[in-house]
This record gives sequence, C-alpha cells and structure tokens, in this order.
Amino acid sequence: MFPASLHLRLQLWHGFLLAAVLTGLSFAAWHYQSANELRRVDRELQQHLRPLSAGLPGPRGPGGPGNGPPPGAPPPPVRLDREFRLPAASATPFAPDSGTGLYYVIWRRDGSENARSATAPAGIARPPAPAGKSPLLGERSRDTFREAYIFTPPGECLLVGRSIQGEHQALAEYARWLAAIAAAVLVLGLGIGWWITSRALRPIAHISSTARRITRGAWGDRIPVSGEKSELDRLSSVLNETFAQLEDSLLSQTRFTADAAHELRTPVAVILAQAQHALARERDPATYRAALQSCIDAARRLNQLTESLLDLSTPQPGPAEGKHEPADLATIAAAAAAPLQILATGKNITLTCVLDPAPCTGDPVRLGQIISNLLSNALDHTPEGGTITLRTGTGGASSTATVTDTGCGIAPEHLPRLFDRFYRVESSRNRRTGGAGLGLAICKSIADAHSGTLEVTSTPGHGSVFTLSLPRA
Amino acid sequence: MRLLIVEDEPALLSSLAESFREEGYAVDEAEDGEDGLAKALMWDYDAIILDVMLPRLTGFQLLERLRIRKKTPVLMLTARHTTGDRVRGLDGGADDYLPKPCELPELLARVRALIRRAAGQATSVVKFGDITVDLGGHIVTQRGVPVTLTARETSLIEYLAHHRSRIVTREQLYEHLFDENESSLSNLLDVHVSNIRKKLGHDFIITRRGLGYSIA
Repeated sequence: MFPASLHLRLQLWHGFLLAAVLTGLSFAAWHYQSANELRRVDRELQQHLRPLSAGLPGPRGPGGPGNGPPPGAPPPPVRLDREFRLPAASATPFAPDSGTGLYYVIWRRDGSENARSATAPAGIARPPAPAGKSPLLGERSRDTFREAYIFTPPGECLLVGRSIQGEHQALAEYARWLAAIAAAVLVLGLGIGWWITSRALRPIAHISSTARRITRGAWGDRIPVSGEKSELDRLSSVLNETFAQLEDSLLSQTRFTADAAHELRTPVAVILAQAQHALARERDPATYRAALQSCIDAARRLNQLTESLLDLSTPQPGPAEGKHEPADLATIAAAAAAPLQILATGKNITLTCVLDPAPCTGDPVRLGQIISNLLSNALDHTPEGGTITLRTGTGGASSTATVTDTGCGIAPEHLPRLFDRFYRVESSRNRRTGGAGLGLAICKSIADAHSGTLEVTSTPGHGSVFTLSLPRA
Repeated sequence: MRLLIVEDEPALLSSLAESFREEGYAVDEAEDGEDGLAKALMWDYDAIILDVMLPRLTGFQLLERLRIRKKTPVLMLTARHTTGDRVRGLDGGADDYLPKPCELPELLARVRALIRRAAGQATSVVKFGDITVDLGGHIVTQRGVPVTLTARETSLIEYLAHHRSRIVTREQLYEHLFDENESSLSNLLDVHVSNIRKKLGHDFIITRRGLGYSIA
C-alpha cells in the first residue's frame, strides 16, 4: 500500500507533517484572533455597563464592588428596584438612531423585567444568578449577540449587549484568508521538499546506476566520492572498496586461467608439431623414436603441470579443519632430504643437514612437499662443487626450517614476486631446471594454510636462504 | 624462401624448423628475443614466425623494434591468444596471428600466403608459357607433366616466380635460398640454374649479365 519509492515516501511524510503544522498554526491564529475580538467587545460592553451600574444600590452604597463610581460622582438618580431612568450622559449609545446597536435590560430582584432599551431584541432571558457573591460581573454569548451583565448584591441584574454579527463575519474572512495562506505555504513547501529530496537522493541514483554499470562488466568504474564525508560518501567509499576487491580477485582469476592455459598449450603444441612432422612422410626409425620421446617428455610435463594446478586450486585445509597432528620439522626434513642426497652427489654438491628438533602441528606430507621443493630448487641453481645446508630448529615462538645454498642467487627485483603463480626469474622456460613457476606458489599456499610464513633473502652471486617458519607446538 | 623461427621451446622449434626445411625453405632458428631481433635485422627474411613469451625480449617488443627498420612479414604463433593479445599483435605490426597449438598444414599454408602477399601475388599457381609453377604444392609441370626437381631447385624457381618480370640479384638469391649454416659458395647457384635449364629449357631462366636472373 505504501509507495515503494523512497523519494515518494519522504515526500509523503514531509507533506503530512507540513499539513499538520500548518493546520495547527492556522487554528491557533484563528483562535487567538477570535478570543481577542471577544475581549474587545467585552471591554466595550463593560464600558457601557459601568455608567449604568453607577445607579445601582449596593450594600456599601451605590455601585458594585470594583465598579464603584469615581470619587465625587453624583448620587444615583433612581432607585433601580422601583423605576429606572437612564442617566442623561448614558442615554445616547442606547438610542435606536445612535448606530451602535447597543441595548440594555434591567431585571428586578424577583426576576421580573424592570426596564429595557427600545433596541433590545425580544426574548432575552435573565442570566442565571451567581451562586456566591461573585462573579457579580459576567459575559455570555447568545446566538449572534454578546452580552455583559452585572448583579447588584441585593439581586438586581443589569445587562448590556449588542450583536457581534460583524465580528463573526470578520473572523470568517480571517479564517478564509488563513486557509488560503496555509494552502499556498503547503504547495510551496511540498515543491521545496521535492527539490530537496531530489537533491539529497541524487547520489543514491548515481550509486545505483554506477553499480549497475559495474555489474554489466565495467569493472574499472567507481562511484565518485565528493569528499564531504557525508553518510552517502562513506557508503560510496565502502562500495568502491568492495568493487575494487571484486575486480582484483576477478582479474587475478582471469590472469591465472590465462597463464594456466598458456602453460598447458605449450606442451600440447610440442606434441602436435612433433607428431605431425613425423607423420608428414616416411622416416627412419631414429626420427620416429626421437619424435615419440619428445611427445612423452611433453606429456609428462603436461601431467606435472596439471598436478601443480590441481594442488594450487584445491583449497589448502587450514590448521582448523586440516590434518592437525603433532609433527617435527626435523623428521620431515630428514625424510625429504634423503631421496635428493643421491641427486646432490651426482651433481657434486654437498648437501648438509643440521636437524634440531622443531615441533609443530600440521600435515607432514604437505610440509615435506615444501622442503623437497626448496631443496630441488637449490639443487637446480647451485653449480657443481657448491653446498646446500638444510637446518631445522626453534626460535622464539616458531619452529623453522631453512635451506641455504651457494648458488647464483636471485636479483632483488625478482624477490617481491618470487612466490607469485607462474612467476619465473629467468623468463625462458629452461626445461631442464624449471617448471611453470608454480612450485614456490604452492609452497607458499601450504605455508599459509599452516599459519606459517615462507621468506627468502638472497645475494646475487653468493646464494639464497629460504626460511619456513611455523608456530611452535 | 628463407624463414626465421623464434621460439623458446626447443622441441617445438626443432620440429617446426624441420617441417619447413622439408618444404624447401631455408630456415634460421632463434631461441630468445634478442637473438631473434638480431637475425631479423641482419637478413631479409621472406617471413618470420614469432612466439610471444620469449626470454629477454618478448615477441611484442621484438616486433616493435623490428618494425622501425623492416617490413618483413611476421606471423605470430603463440599460446597467448585472447582477443586482446591478438589485437595487440596485429596492431603492433604482425601480419597474421595463429594460436598455439596449431595444425602444421595450416601454418604452412599461412606462411605461403604471407610470402605470396608480400611479393604482391594473389594466386598460388603461376604460368610461364608451357610451364606451370604451383607455389602451394611445390610442383612444376611442363605441358601438364610434372618435372622432377630437387627441393633447392624448386625454391629457386618459386622465388623467381614470386618476383616474376623483375630482376633478382645473385645476392638476393643467396640470402633467400640458403640459411645461416650453409656455406654460400658462389658457384652453387650457377649449378642449380644450369640444372634447371637442363630440365626446363634454356630460356626459362634469363641471365641479366652483371645484374642477376629473371623469368617472365
């Protein structure tokens, strides 16, 4: 039932509120005006009442309490309970041709009418006598008449009144005028309100249109931030951060897929080219053998690549849900180094192991993968006659394994990206020494999954040190 | 026809080079970008087959530097074949772009087309009197009968056919028919020319004394 648009809803609330305030104000203004008007009439009536009442007898002499004649006033001309005659000065306003419309009526103590002016309308009832002594003075409205009256202490009543039709008409006019003003203000207020909400909501429309554009593929788009630090600005910043992260992960995913495809295509290209070349014409057995050997090598490489990619894409189980068994890096390192010892001897490289206990928790197979990977890398990059040292031990709150080689080292510009997927220091894919640049990325992801770190320091020409640190168990 | 193949995967490089040699091309090989650029600048190849992911100098960089000096037709052969990569390669001066892995017959056909276009010829069959040279099939026929020729003789005829009605210098022939590993003995060319004349008649190849050879 309620409109869905925030803009309309705000406008509706605004309209309701404005209308309520305007109505309240108009009523107050009208009420004030009408009360004022009545008070004025009452004062006027009382002014006419006063000279009349000067002739009334009271317990303490002529006049009512508080309405006594000024000192030195002439004695009352008549006795009210018998006969009433107007004082000469007061006669004029009650004359039919005076134009004031004033009239008076006087009642005796017993309630019978004593006297009335010729202007008095028929059917005026005596006001009810006050219960106590006061108020002796009173006012009342009767149809379109306003009347003021006074009771003498003995009980006579004197009433002065006049028609207030004119005042009623003026008040009605005033009410119409108020209504017109209120309507005008309401329309103006609604217009201004619409404009203000439009302005305030414009950034939201902007945000949603930008977000829509981004959803449709304009990943680089961002919501402009005005820098006012308003709520909408903060919202925009938060959304922008979200978009940036989404774009990042999307781009890195795309890059990873493209790189993976590239790496996979190369061995396929070799297989295809070798096979097609071999089959193009009759060849001697040696050529066929060589071609088939190339195909086998390429297929092995393909297989190894697939395994690596699988390793990388399978989420590494974190320490919470993965294998969580007590392990010792020393035992793991010894197991990893053993098969490589023969390779090292073959290359005339000294592989030294200094294995102190280094307790940790994790998956021994995965951790062993890191160490054998680091050792094979070291073997690949260390010249004949060099040395490789594998150390394990504890330091502070961590258990560490370090692989130190006396190889060619790594130039500083390569270090920041060394653990990136598909990053190769020498961009040539040297088939004899290297794979696709996934080994260290895999090691890093295993270390991360164990809440550990994998770091490298290197001096070109002198060698590198790879350090695996895990939380000490 | 002389080709340069720049490719860092040795197994792929050797099999591609062999395949093209069997088609009668003189083939030079380069395993990295710098070597490739040096060779491409030194010789006037009829076409270059260029990989993108190369050590030292990428295929795109090589192409950019080559295009400052030379218009050699370039076919990019790479596993990197998103639309963006292809557009970048073609806009960067490549004449064709073939995704890796590719079919060998297609690669051979594309290289032939590239060379043909660069020489300004639209068709792959050219006639000279009663002699027909099929540049695609590497077949020369005389009055409908195939003539037995060696691979080198076929290449010589094809090169002259590509540049028919123009004089081809001896230096040009040496540069386009022999690769960098062959000794360019000066009389080797004369031997081939005289053998061709024996098989196809003396007037098929015209000697422009002091200038070179031509066929028309």
